[in-house]
Amino acid sequence: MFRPLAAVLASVTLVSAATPLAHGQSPDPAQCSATTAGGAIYITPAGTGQSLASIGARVTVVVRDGAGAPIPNYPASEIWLVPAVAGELRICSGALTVADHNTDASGTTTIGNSLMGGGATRSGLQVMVHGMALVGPPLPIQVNSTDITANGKVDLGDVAVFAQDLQTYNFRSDFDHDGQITLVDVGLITPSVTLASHCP
Amino acid sequence: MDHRSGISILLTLACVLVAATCAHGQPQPGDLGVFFDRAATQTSMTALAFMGFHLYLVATAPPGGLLGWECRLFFPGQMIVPSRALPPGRSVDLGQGDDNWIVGTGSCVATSGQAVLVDYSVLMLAATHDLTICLGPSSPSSFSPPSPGYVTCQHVDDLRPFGAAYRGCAVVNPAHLEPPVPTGQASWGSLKGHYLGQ
Repeated sequence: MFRPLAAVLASVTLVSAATPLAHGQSPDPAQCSATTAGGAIYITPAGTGQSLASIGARVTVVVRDGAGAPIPNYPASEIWLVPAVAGELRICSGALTVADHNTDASGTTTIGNSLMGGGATRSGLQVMVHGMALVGPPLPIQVNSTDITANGKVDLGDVAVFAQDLQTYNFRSDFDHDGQITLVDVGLITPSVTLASHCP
Repeated sequence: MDHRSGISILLTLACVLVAATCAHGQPQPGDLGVFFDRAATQTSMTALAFMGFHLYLVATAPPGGLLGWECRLFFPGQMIVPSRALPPGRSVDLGQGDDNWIVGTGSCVATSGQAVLVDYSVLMLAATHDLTICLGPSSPSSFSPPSPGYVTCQHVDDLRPFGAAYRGCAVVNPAHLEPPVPTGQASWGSLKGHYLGQ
């Protein structure tokens, strides 16, 4: 008897935590905003790449309702990043990069962590709030990954592509984003190869 | 026949079997092996202490061509490797540690014959019998179960395990292929002639 009751109480608690605390307020993607200084990061499937915060590209998100009023204490788990162009960058399944914390009194939060995934995009990122993409241009953040082939793990296929890109420049292998592929990039991809970095 | 004699006979038979395997047959397409010649025909040789020789890691006609490859070589403690050379050009090795190869070739290696992947210079420290140099999977391995393998030129996700040419091993101073090498034969050429003359 005790266990079923505990389970029900736990479920109620979980539902409460996932629901916006400001009563009656629902986010409106046309009223929300996301800004960043922009930049370029390299990521890995295991999440050991650069964070947005580390390059000064932390994203500031303001969550508002349809009337333009900020929504305080909106759950961080309901705010996450996706590539602006689907397919260019493949985020690891179940490994979303969500907001750093719930929104504050002004409806504001930030996203500063790294992403977990493979592929590369120069088309920028987009913020999703409660499953809806914010209206507006993509965030000017370029991303590439040591999982160049975007199969969820760093393996021989990535080494093969990287070796080709050493001859002919390709952004996907330029992990320090200096416009050329050099020994520095070899140094950046090598730990992923050595550790067989993969999606969680 | 006591217990030790039985084991000894079994070991002898096993060695003879390995020797026979090494002496006959040709590598198949998609095989990888270690050889004492670029043509991938010699998997055994005789060497004296402090002699140098070359050893070649050879892939045989990998189907689909080869854009990258990985494997590991294991040398006995009686040998040191002064140098190991990838073919001149565009290859990059991201494997950590000696002889742990995870290589992108930079361009497609398409061949219907033998492709020498690494040219080793090896120095014998002691003329011990039955020294084996064997292949194994790199660490980490891109394959499950772990295996030496390659990525084809057709697609970067087309990873294929290598077959093991001659069981992926080469033998120096095989005790059951030929008589012990007389002392005084100092040159690689003379030893090679001696071996081929058997």
